[in-house]
Amino acid sequence: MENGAEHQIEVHLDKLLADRGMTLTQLSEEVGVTIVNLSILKNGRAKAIRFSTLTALCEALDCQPGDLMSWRDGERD
Amino acid sequence: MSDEQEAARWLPAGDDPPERGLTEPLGNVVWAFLCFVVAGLVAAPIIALTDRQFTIYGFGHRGVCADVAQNGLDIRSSGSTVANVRAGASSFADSLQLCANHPTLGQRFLVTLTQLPTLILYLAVLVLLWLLVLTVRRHGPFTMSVSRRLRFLAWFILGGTLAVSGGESAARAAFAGTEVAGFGASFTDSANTVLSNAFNGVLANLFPLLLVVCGLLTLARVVRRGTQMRDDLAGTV
Repeated sequence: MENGAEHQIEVHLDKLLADRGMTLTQLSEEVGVTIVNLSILKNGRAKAIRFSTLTALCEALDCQPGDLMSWRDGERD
Repeated sequence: MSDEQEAARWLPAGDDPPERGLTEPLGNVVWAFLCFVVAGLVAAPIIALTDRQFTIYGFGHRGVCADVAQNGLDIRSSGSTVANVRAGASSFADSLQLCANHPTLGQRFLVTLTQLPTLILYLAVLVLLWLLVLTVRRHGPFTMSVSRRLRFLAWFILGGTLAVSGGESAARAAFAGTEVAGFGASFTDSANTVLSNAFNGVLANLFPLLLVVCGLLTLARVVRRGTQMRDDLAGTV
């Protein structure tokens, strides 16, 4: 994949939030990331995620990074 | 993509526009020069019409003069120009001033062509620089519009300077042709002299011109790369 090309990582933030009965606003307050940035992440428009953000999300949602995102093989779609 | 959309894309939500100091000292200097040139353009025709001792851009009540290159002119004596030159030293004038004491309209027009294009070019470059400053102030330094403006400025300065220096030199040679008898024995000679003067005028400015143009084009590429990096940064959560 070329640098800057579309990625094939799916973020499962909405599923994790639903499983834990949390809203995006609550998560935003807990991890200290703006709702705008969390929406970007949730909708798959983020280009990169900082380890500090990932750590805060895993702590708040009590999950592993692998629960938060997965790789989707574009060629199989 | 419009500038507004672009600004929204590059500036994260809630960010203020870039600080004004980022465009200084260029912003204040360009603004001062613009005011000075515009004031001069407004005042000059008024002074030229009212003051009998004043001639500007070929128009006024007095005769008109133009600095002309020696190329194509026969210089009387050895060409030495400075009196009391010490032994072992010599002096030669590269250009001299020719004046028409009772100029025709055509001569006035030629003198105008030897001076006004430079002023118009300076004014146009100042306006483009001012637009560049405004773009940086509104949308930030690393946007595609800033890169585009830098690239346009570079090509405009290159084309404008070549055209103006060539044109003014040709106008000087043509004015000299109206003042000096036998300047160019035939039409072909005269045209050749005008063309060679124009070519020399272009060559005189070529080295600093190329440096400025290459610098601006490189800066445009740097800004373009910075824009891509900022795009990546804006997508980082």
